[in-house]
Amino acid sequence: MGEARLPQGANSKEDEASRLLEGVRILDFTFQGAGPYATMLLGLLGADIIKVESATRPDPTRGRENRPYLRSLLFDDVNIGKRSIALNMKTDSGLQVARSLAGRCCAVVDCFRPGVMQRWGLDHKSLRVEHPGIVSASLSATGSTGPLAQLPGYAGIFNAMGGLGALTGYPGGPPTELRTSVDMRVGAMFAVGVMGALIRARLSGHGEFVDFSAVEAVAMLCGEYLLSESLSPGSVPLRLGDRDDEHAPCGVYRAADGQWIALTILSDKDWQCFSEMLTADGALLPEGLETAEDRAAHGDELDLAIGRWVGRHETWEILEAAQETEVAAGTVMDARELCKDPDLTTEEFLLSVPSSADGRQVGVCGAPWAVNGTRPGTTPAPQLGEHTSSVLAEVLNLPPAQVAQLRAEGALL
Amino acid sequence: MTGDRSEAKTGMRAVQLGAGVAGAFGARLLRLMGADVVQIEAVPSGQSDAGSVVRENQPVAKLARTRSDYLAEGKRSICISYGSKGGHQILERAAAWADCVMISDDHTQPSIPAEFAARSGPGPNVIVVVSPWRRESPREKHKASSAALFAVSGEASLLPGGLGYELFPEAPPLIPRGRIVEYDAGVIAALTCLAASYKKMGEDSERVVLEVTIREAEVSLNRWLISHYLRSSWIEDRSTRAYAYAGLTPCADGYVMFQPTTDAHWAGLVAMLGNPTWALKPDLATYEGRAHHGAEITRELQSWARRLDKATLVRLGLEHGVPVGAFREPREVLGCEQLQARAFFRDYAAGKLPTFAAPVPAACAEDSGYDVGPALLYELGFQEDEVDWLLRSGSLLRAPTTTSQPDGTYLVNDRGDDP
Repeated sequence: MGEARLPQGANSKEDEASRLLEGVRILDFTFQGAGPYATMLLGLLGADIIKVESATRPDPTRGRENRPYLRSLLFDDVNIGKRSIALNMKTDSGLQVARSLAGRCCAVVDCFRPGVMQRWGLDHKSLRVEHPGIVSASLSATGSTGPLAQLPGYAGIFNAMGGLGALTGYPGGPPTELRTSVDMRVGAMFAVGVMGALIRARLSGHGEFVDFSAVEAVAMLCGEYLLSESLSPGSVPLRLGDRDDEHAPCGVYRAADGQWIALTILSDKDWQCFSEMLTADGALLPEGLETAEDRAAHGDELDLAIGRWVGRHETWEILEAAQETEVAAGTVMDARELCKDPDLTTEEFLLSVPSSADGRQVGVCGAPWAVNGTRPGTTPAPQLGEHTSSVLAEVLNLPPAQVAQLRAEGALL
Repeated sequence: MTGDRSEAKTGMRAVQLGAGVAGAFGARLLRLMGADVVQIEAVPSGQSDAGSVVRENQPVAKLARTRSDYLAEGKRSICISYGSKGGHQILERAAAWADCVMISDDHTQPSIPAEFAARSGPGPNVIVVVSPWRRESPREKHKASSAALFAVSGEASLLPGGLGYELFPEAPPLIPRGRIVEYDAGVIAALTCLAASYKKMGEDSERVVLEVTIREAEVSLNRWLISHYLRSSWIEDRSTRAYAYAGLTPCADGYVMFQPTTDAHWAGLVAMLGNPTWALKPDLATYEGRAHHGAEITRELQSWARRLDKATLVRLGLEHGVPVGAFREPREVLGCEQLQARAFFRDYAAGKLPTFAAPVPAACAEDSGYDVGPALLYELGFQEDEVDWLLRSGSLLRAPTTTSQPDGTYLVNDRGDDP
């Protein structure tokens, strides 16, 4: 379904050059959104991601339909390019398989609350005894130490506690719930943390424990405001609507056809061109607003005038005028509009892969980068335990009889 | 190991070019991961004493230079007159010195990415070019802003949801505060740069040129929107973007976020509420049942939470295993006991600066990144007579004083004679 015919996501020979992390194997105990997005990015960079799921409690994003959409699609979104093994972590042999696999990996990553990996003997302290070069990375809501270490959390909590939510919103209104995207933001930064540790481990021969806090990652995105508040208490204005700290005017306005359009004046020169055009088109603007500070001081007046002007024109007219006057402009795009945008449907950014749930083709985003002009390909998100036998054979050299024995013991799905 | 945010070194040498925030944030992450980062600020010829575009800041909010200070933390900096002979020489030497170059291609110096990619001499092994739009797209030459990029990336169509939309249904979609769109792309730029550097540690392969598009990095965060539409034609918008129950909740001194998703969370929440009769109904035992009665649950929860403050609600959440988080203003983030216990902040001039979330890489040099003088020029390979020429000819100028570095920095202008 959808307008675009998307390229298939399967790997091809052209992808080889883009597999920067070829040879890096990561044992992945993450689930939900943030952790899997991190390992998905590392997988798109060429790492071999072995996703470990409990045979009895798989990643909760698989299959459960408790929303107006198929929840399993989130699983498909953030688990492309991985292999899946399903272990029963309540059995000794299941735990032993996990530990053996960890020993053959460059990194072990998880997103459990502090203490779980330790109970399984898969924490960094345990693993480094036999594998001093291994990187362990644990993503939790607030990190593994401190008074709130055991606080459970999801993206909405990270957004709230990290400060981003309180900064965003309408003047006089409540903070803003930023949700799924925050999981991905946290995940991407977690991947950077893992990648940095891998480089240092390769240089030194000594692995590290990356104790990653999602709340701290969000606070990093607000760093300039935290610094400003620290330098000058009370200096950071909270929720400004769509106003910008740097540019004015900056806002989102509704065109005659109902489309919302974001407009930003990036320089005084651009304002001169834009205001001349608006005035020529009948808009009444205050005079003498040469600097961003001047214009910000007349923000309400300008918003009203620009809003009226935008409201008299169709979207295409606004965008054309914006381009002529060098105003930064973008329409507020929903999912349908994104899927029609040739900027996204070409160049293999959007890919078509079979769903892990039923094999039907689904559209997913691929890598937001190219390596020497080539986009990495990928493989579909795996079915639960799809690669259990092949991973045990390939990575641990277990013969089929031993795999069958483990299966009979209930250690494998 | 937690709390040990001592300096870690990778030996990686990185150069940051261009005025864009995305590349600057990406390079900041490289610094925090252990790279030695030199920020080259290019000033258009003839504006050598005007300060670089990188240091333009938030004049509207009057947040004096805090963004550039934040982004420059731990880096060294040199400011060149782009297009001048001296500036060109420094770019050349920097390219030979660097293992990787992070370029924000915002069209202010359009030839820089191509020049670096086409270099045949030594270094850099890795080049990352961060652009607002995909190259060769119809938008390639369009000016870009955070707001415009966020608007075309999906999430603006969802903001605000829940209570924010209920209170302001006619207001325009919201753009998050700050330059988060560029920061998001900077994270991808840093990630890909580190991965390419990892590859180059093991082999002498061809130079790796990475292209990161800010818009795609942002769309990637909203990937679920696209996949759900492609699968079912289902489009979520601001009016539907609400939690089935709970979510953003007003309390006595602000707002908290409740996310009791699982049955165990629900059981904890019911205990936290004091086991009220309404919450013990059997049809609330499952997520589906709770979703069906979402409005009732939310109403009851809001009524209860209004009497309590944020600290109490978070404490109760912790005691009962319920995901609860306080919406924190900047001063509250700074005062957060959890962040302080984990040494997240460290002293920086008169303020505090967040270190990175991982424990290993954080503490950089104590300077702010504005400490450049002749020493860096020697390090880039200039000989003593060349440096003398730059100094004696008046080619090194001090930049305007900043909040964090009273001594200022130096600018290399194009007024000097050839050595």
